Parts: sequence; structure tokens; C-alpha cells
Amino acid sequence: MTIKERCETAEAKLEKISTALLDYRPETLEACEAELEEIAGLLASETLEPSERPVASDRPVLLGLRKRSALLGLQVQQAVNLCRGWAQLRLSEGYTSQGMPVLPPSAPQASYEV
Amino acid sequence: MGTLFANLNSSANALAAFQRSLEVAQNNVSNASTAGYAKQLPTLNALPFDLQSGLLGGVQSGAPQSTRDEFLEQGVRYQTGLLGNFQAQAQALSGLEPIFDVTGQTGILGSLNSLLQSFSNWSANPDSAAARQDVLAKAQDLGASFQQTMSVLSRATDSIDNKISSTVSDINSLAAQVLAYNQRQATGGAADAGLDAHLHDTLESLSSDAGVTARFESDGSITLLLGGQSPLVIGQRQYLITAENFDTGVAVNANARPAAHIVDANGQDVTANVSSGTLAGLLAVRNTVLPGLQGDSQQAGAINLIAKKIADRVNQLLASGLDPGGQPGVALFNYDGSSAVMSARSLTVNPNITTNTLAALDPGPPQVANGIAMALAGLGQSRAGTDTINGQSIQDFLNGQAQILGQQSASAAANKSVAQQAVTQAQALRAQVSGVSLDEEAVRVMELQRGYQSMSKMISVINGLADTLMQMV
Repeated sequence: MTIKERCETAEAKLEKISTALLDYRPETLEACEAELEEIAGLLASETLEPSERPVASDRPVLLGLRKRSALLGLQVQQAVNLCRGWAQLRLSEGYTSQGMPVLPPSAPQASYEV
Repeated sequence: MGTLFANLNSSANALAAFQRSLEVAQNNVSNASTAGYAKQLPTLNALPFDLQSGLLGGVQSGAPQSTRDEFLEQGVRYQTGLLGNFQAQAQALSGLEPIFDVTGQTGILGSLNSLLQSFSNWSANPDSAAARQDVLAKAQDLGASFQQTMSVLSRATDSIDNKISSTVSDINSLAAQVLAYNQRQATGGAADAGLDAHLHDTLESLSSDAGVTARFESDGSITLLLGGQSPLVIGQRQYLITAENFDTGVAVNANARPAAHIVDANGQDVTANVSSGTLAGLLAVRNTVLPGLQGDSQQAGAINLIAKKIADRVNQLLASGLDPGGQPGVALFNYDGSSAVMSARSLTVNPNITTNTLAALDPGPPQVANGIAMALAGLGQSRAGTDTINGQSIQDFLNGQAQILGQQSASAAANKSVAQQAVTQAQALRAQVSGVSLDEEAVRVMELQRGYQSMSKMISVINGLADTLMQMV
């Protein structure tokens, strides 16, 4: 498998993950994680034969893959932030003016130190 | 650049869809305790994917889907209607039960027992002035008991009339809210989970008040029918109902309280269509139980029958006897005989009677000095044709009325308890389908967060791998 074929396969998988991630179910995430592991396997330089090493003509396809991967990273980071914000809103008492969550006052805890 | 913008656009759509999903989850959590709210589910629609036409696919969020099941809603409304009916009956009947003291210590039963005991004491000492005085005193007590009982029944009737009016007013007010919903639908209002929750909460309240049928029309409006027949709301028009008291047939008894009726906007009597809910329970007690006791335009009522029978038989027996002066006895009781429903409330001791005009002596033959007093003492349990009511002795008939009322009350209380369980069951079934589980929603978001975080790390790894490959070029 040439590096170009590997990159195109990986990019197609990233595209598929980007869409699949929007299905609002934890089990979808598990399936996507498996896909990501496959992509990592495709791109691991250790698995490349000497004849499969990238050459200058592979640069455009590598850039395309890198761009697609960055977009997916942004999408996932946004999802993480949304989840964290939602949880903070539900579990805390709101935000400070600096955007930090205000946690409910904690009750004194018993100490087990001697 | 075009492809880059298309990619960014696709990602933006995807992020918006994801955000929408989270908003739906948060809305579910916020409305977990909102009456009538049904859990919403986010929906996602695939976008066209055709690389040659530059369509990169992706996803966009659709309108949230309600998990409301109208079949289950109808089940809850039906059970709520039954509960309202039995609840109203149980409450009204428990208020009437004390008028019959089954221990025989107070009320009509207690006063009658005391009078019969005073007759018995008098028969043992026919010449005793104290015994005679006691008879007059106990007769006055009995008259007062009948009047008091009728007064309690009258107040209970007033109270139920007020409740009927208030329930009818509540029904009209709730129907107006359904009308407002229809008017909003007619102006093309978008689907709104909050409005939908309010509508279903209103329908449930209506079912508790009266058995109503809600039909969901194709234009989005609700047709609301009382008992499945009389219109309350059709499209953008409301049909008000009113509570009125009147008699339908020719009145046999004057001065009787007319029956309660529900009348529609066209003046038609629609009482028969009220078969469920608080209104049905109130009407059942108002038009069946209470008239059975205090009478109405067609029947005398048990209390009046008893009062009349006691007064008539005591007066007849005394009139057949002779007082200590050898004169025919004077009537002990007076009552208004102009109407069968007036006997109990007008029962009093004859103001002309004195201890000296009470006739204890039965002239016979054979003459018996205490014959009349003895007959009066046995009047309560006598099964002689002239002393009975509907084939029962006076005391048995009175006890029977207490038992009937007690059974009706106990039956309503038991039915109320069963209906309460059925409502709880129907609500639980509904909650399984459309209720919001806070745990479920919170767990879902926390799981998603963990999943996305783990994925974020893997994407970093992929970025690193891609960078390594690029450095090899």
C-alpha cells in the first residue's frame, strides 16, 4: 500500500468519523475510537517498508490529511468543552467573571490523620 | 479554497448539530419537574454527499422529537377522571356519615332511642309526672334532631352546589386555555415542547374535573368534548357550560330542592354526558344520595319518611287513648303536611300538649292503664303493617339508611384508593416512555465528555504521525 493510498484511506475514515461523531450516543464514540486506532496503524512510520516511505509528490496528500485531522480535532475539542460547560452548569453554582466555575461550598470533612 | 470553506461549513453544521443535541438534553433536565412535559430527543439528518457536485455530506440537526405517547396520555386522563369521581364522592359522603350515629348515642337514632326509653319508663309508672315530663322533653329532642339533620343535609347540598359551580367554572377556564392553544396553532406557531407540556397538563386537569375527550385534528387544533359528545372547544370556538338547578318533570312535592344540572351553551341539559371526574362525583351525591335522604320533587326522602311515620303513629296511638282526666289524648307532634319533603324539618312538639293530656290508658276492651304507653314503647321495633316503612320497623329502616350511607361512603373510599393506584401506575408507565431521567441525561453527557476527551488524545497522536511522515519527505 503506497503512502498516498494510506493517506486517502485515513482521510476518508476521518471524514466518516467527523459525521459519525454527531450521532448523540456513547456507543458511537466507541466505534469511532476503533476507527482512529486503525488510522494510527495506517500512519505509523514503523510499519512502512523502505519502498513505501513518503516522497515529495506525497506532500499534497499529507497536507490534506493533516488539515482533515486538525478539523476533527477542533470538532472534538468543541464537544469536550460543551460537555464540560454543561456539567459545570449542572453541578456547580455558575461562573465567575473570569469564566471559572463556582463550586458549591464544601462541608467540613472528618480527618483521619493522627 | 472552495473545498476548505466547504469543509469548514460541514464542520460548522456538525458542531451546531452537536450543540443542539446538548441543548435538548439540558432542556430535558431543566423541565424534569415541569407538569405535562415529555422528554425530547434530538434528531440528526444526513446532508447530501456527492464529491463531484461539491457536496461534502455532513449532518444537521432536525427538530427535536417528542417522546409523548397519546395512548398513554389518554390512559392517564381516563384514570384521573375515575379518581376525581371517587375522590369527590368519598369526600362528600364522609361529610354526611356523622348524621347517622350507628352507636345510637346521638343524632336521630339516639333521640329516637331516648324517646322510646321514656315511653317505656312512662309505661312502668303511668301516673308519674316526672316520667310524663321526660316524654315531652325527649319528644322535643327528637324534633330538634330531625331539624338539625335536615339542616346538615341542606348545608351539604349548598356546599356541593358551590363545588359544582366552582368545578364548572374551572372547566370553562381550562377549556379557554385549550382554545388559546388552538388559536396559536391557527397562526402557524412552531412546535414548542413547553406549550405542548402546558396543553397536556391542562388536559389532565380537565380530566380530573370531568371526563373529557381530546381529539387531535389534522390542522393541529384540539377538539374537546365533554363525555365524548358535548363540545367544549372546536377549532377556535369555545362552548361554555353552566351549572343550574331545576326539575325536569312535574313536581310531586312542593318546596323540594331542585336537582343540579349541567347545561351547554345552547341551553341543552348535558348532565348525562358527565360520566367521570369530580363533577360526576359531585352530581352523583347531589342528585342521588342527598335526595334519597332529604327528598326531592319526586320522592319524600328517608328522613322525612321516618319523621312522618313516627309523628303519625305516636299521634294516632295517643289519640286512641285516654288521659288521666278521661279525655282522648292530644297529639304529641306537629309537622307541616303540605309537602312530603317538609315533615322532618318542621317536626316539633305540639305546643298544646301537657303532662296531663298525655294519654297512657288504652280504653280497650279490655282497658289497660298503661296500654298506650306500652304500645308507644314498642313502636320502634314493631313490625305491624301500620308501624313499618317499606316493610321494615322504624328502627330497622333507620339503621338500614345508616348502613346504606356507610356502604356508599366505604365503597367510594375503596374505589378512590384503587383509582389512585391505577393513576400512579398509568403515570409510571407514561414516565417510562416520556419522563425525564436526570441520571440518564447526566450520565449521557458525562459519558460523551469522557469519550470525546479520549478521542481528542487519539487525534493528537494521528497529528503527530502525520507530522512525522511530512518530516520524512
